[in-house]
Amino acid sequence: MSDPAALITVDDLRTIFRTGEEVARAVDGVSFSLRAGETLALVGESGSGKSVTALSIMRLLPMPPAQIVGRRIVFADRGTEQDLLTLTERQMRRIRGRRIAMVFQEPMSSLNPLLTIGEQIAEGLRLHLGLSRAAAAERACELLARVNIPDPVRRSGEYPHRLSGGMRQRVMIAAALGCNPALLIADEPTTALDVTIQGQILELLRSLQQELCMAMLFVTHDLGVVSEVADRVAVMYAGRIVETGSRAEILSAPRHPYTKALLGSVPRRRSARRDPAARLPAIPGQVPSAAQLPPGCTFAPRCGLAIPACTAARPALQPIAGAHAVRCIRWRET
Amino acid sequence: MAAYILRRLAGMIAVMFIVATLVFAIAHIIPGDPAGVMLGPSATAEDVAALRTRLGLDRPLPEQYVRFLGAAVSLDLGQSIFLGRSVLQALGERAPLTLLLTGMAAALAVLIGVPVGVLSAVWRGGAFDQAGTALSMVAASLPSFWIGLTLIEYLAVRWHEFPVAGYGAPGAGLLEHMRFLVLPAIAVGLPNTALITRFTRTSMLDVLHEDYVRTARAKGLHPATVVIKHAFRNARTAVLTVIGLVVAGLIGGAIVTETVFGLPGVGNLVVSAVLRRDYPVIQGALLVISGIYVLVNLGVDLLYAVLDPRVRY
Ligand SMILES: Nc1ncnc2c1ncn2[C@@H]1O[C@H](COP(=O)(O)OP(=O)(O)O)[C@@H](O)[C@H]1O
Ligand SMILES: [Mg+2]
Repeated sequence: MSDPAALITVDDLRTIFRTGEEVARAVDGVSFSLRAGETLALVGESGSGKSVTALSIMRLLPMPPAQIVGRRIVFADRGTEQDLLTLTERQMRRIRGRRIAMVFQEPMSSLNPLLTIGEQIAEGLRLHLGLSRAAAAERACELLARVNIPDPVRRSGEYPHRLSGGMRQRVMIAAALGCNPALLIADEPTTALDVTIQGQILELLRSLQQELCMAMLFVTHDLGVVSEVADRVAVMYAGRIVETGSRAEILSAPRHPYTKALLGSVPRRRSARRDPAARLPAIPGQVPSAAQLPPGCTFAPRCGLAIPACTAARPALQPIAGAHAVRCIRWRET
Repeated sequence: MAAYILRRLAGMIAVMFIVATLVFAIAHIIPGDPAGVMLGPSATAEDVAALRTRLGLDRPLPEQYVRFLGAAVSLDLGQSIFLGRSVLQALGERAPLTLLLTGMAAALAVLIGVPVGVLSAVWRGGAFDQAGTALSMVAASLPSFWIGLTLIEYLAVRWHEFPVAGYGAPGAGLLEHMRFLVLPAIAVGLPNTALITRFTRTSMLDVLHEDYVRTARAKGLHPATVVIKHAFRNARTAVLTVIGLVVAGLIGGAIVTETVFGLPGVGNLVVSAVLRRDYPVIQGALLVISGIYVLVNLGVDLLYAVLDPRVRY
């Protein structure tokens, strides 16, 4: 499935957590690729391994307990190919924040409360672009203006506690995009925000992405958001990708019972997203613990279509048409 | 900020007023006549009466109280009964030693405790952390006087590296004085070093789990930058609290330290004043020690406000 035009190719990623005797397989053989300028949405319920996937790419997981045991993450940037998993920590630091940047879910806690907003944007610019203190401060103000923060010069001297959640997320985006990264990883960047603010942040990310021709890995549990940002979608369940395809294929012609269930549980009215209860997928049962994955298909225990063959062997990702593929032996019957 | 400082100063004056009242009360609540106690059982009635008049003890209590407060405000702490000079003068002679010893012990505790605590947190569970934890456990559980006596036995008595006791000749230079204080400073500094190490480590561990530390790493910053600029910056207010407690404890503990090491500081002055019932000296020393205590606290709080933009004035 190697795409020669891909910017990043995640190939059979396996990340485990060792706690005492237990081994939790949080990411269990995830593969996908992304081209420049393209957006892939990684969708799934909470606990399915989306954040661990994202943090594995950045190599930001705490090790121990985390350990990346397989296999390759090929980053083909500016004509050189390198496997991120074999880079030294020092080489990796030259990629983090410069070529691959990340925006996190929690805007309230992701900014340092004791550093000014301007400094938190400028420090990356000084480090990676070699800008002087003054030049970096000036560029930080430009970036704040670009993410629509009013009165950027004054704001850049303020501390994060003076800003709302939406404003802080704009600051995070400004800091992430300062060095024109080739890839932006956005881990549920709008989940903690109000619906109206969510829309604004999505719109901002989309316009910046086009402007910078940047690839984006957009992690979310919200299919409503997927329809707004994604070119392609990968549905994740219990550490594996269970279905992948274009946005239209996944949203209009899903084949995996889990994707169907997720779609069935998307609230009709957008305003319902405000209500956390309405946002949670109404699929009976829960995601299995990464420490005790069921044999065969990990969704079988919750699946209405499960037959003995489902739990006998781990289903392979089966192509349906084009890039649409599904990890279900009964997809023809769904 | 200026309003905040003024408010805090007003609070400090209120505290000192209460301290002064307590100090006054101690001398008068204790059964027996201070003048009689001071002069001892062999004194004549005339001597006692004369001292009572000199100390103003023959006046009505409220008047004595007002006079005492007035004198305290103008830093007129009265005359020592035995030393033949004013209390302020006696304190002034002894204070440099106590402050120098406190400063040296605190510097030792902070300069070793903070870096070791930070690195222990960063290398949590590693060899450095385990060694640091074991050593601080030992240091925290050893009594200062035992450390002191051991240091004296080896470094002073056997190997002659440092003086055994004392503070050097009165006119000696600062360095010479400091040489005399090295062993006592280590003795009282070590348990406090352990305290600061443990506390810094805990605060750093809390902070290292914060999301903004992950954000800093996601920017590709050097680990030292992440630890010092992003993590320690957020741990330092908590560390400052312990440092304040340590300094305050060292000043309060000066009485014991100076007795053990035979140092002529304020603590030593208080002990001999208590033994001789030199009430003006006791009262004056208590007032000054409490004043320093309160000032240290004020300093810590003001530093908070400087270090953390979220502190509301
Ligand atoms: N620090 C950690 N220690 C142990 N296990 C972890 C840790 N972080 C994540 N996991 C495991 O990885 C699984 C997936 O987590 P995560 O990727 O955060 O899910 P999500 O899809 O909600 O982002 C969790 O259910 C948990 O078992
Ligand atoms: Mg997550």
